[in-house]
Amino acid sequence: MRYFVCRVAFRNRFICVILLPALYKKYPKQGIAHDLLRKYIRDMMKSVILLVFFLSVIGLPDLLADAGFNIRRKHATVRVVFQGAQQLHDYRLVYYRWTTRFQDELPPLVNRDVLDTINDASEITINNARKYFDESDRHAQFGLIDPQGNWVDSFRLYLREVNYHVRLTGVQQSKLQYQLDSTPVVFEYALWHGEDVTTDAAYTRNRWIFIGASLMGLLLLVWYSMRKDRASSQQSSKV
Amino acid sequence: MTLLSTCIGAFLIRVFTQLPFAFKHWRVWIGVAVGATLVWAPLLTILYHETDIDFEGMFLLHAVVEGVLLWRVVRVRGWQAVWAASLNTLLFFLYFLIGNG
Repeated sequence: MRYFVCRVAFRNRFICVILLPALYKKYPKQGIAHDLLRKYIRDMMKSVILLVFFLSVIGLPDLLADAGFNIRRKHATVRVVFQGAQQLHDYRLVYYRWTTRFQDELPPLVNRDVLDTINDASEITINNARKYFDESDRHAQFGLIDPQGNWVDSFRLYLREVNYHVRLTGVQQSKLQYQLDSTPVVFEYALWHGEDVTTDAAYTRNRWIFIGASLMGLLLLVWYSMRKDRASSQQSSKV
Repeated sequence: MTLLSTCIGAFLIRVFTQLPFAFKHWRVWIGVAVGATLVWAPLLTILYHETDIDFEGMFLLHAVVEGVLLWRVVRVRGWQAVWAASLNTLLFFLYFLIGNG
């Protein structure tokens, strides 16, 4: 009787709530209502803790940041190289990071003397952004300064997914003349720590190994799901 | 993070979070755990570094898939499967984000 009442009442939450006072009154010594209440509270606790868990998911990156971890979402390393800087003669091509603070094309507050002047040996490399989803640091701005020290031209590159080869061909009517070649980049995947890979071909091979491993795992899961001798449902009630 | 360290870390987290719930079916669990580790570790690494996919959504997807695998294939009880999947997902994503951060 006790088992039956508990089972029926617990399966229907409405009955559970309605019956509790009556059960307390009718069976004061058998503990039916007590068992029922305990099960009901345990059930509620599960729901509440699970809800808190999923709410915590939403703030996971912020939670990590608050804990002191500086999470940066790395992407493939992008390189920008230059050729033909001597074609600019008296003009200076300078490089600076474009950030959200500089909404204008030409930032007036930047000290022009300390900016890096581009020459043929210049190489700009970037492989991660500032923070978890903030990509504003990937904008590289280049400005052209005439012999009198005035900004006369500028262009901006978004440093992601492609390498750039900038061929400078000269200055005409205070406008920079250049050609832009781009090649795709590959993320530096490694199979184990300290693996000796330096070329893009090796990284591409590692990437295919990553994809192959994932597909192998998928096949294994499908095979286990289709197996007839997987754990049977009758055993599950005894776990 | 390298493939080896991601896989080993993910499998060890699985041992601590899922095996206590699936101890009676440990043979099936090992197969499923190896398969799921091989699926998630490289796939998430590629998605993390090459796309802008929202990892909060991937977090929920991971939790749901793990729960369904434990419940339907390993035959862990419903609520135990939810606990095991949620805990495993939380610890694995913390490990993954810190390692790849």
